Amino acid sequence: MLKYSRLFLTSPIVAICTVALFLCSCATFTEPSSQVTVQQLKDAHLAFINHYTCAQGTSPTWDQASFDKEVADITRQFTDAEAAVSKTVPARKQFIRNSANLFRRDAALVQKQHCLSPSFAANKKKQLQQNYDLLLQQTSM
Amino acid sequence: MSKLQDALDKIKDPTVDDAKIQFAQLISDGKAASAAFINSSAEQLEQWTIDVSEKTMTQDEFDNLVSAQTILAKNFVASQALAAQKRAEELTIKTAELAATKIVPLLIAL
Repeated sequence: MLKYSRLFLTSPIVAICTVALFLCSCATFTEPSSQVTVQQLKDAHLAFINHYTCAQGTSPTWDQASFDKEVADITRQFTDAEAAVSKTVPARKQFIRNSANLFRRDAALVQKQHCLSPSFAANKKKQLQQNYDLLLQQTSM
Repeated sequence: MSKLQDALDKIKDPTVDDAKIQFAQLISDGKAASAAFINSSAEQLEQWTIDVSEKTMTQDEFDNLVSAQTILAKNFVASQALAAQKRAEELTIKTAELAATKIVPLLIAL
């Protein structure tokens, strides 16, 4: 231990490099987990759209309690994801906030119509794909 | 003739003739743009307009897509160099607004 302390004292460059390496390894460890989180948000949002897409030729059965629970669960996922993002990456925080905003709008539309047209669902999934893929690209950089 | 033009031709109100021409031009410019986001935005907006004209999508659904795209486009525009921001905004946000205010209400009313 003493030997290493002496090494740091005698060579500030070694110390700086060691700290830099440590910080880099931290970043490497946190990036995959933030990618997993974004992927989970994307999956949950897309599953929500699928769940409330009208099946052609059948009238939707509406369960308000189940809808409320699903919305609350996904909203919590967004809140947790935003809280987990460090303040040092404000763009990513903003991106998650925007995505949560998109989800709220979709939930409000489902609440109003009780089901989404297949055409809207297809367009919405394309839009969400674009949104989350951009966020996934950001987290992999 | 393109499906978009077919949709626009359903609108017979002469007071929106200029808006129809402007909208078709902006969509065409957007699809030819080099930025992938602008490209995809123009293609999606074209498809939404066609879907509304074919009555497979409601006004609320169209409005939802446009407002969501506006949020995404604001992020994109802000990420562009200052000189390119005005054109990017025109090809994404302004085009969507034009569709939402001048084109789609008339297609829904048909």
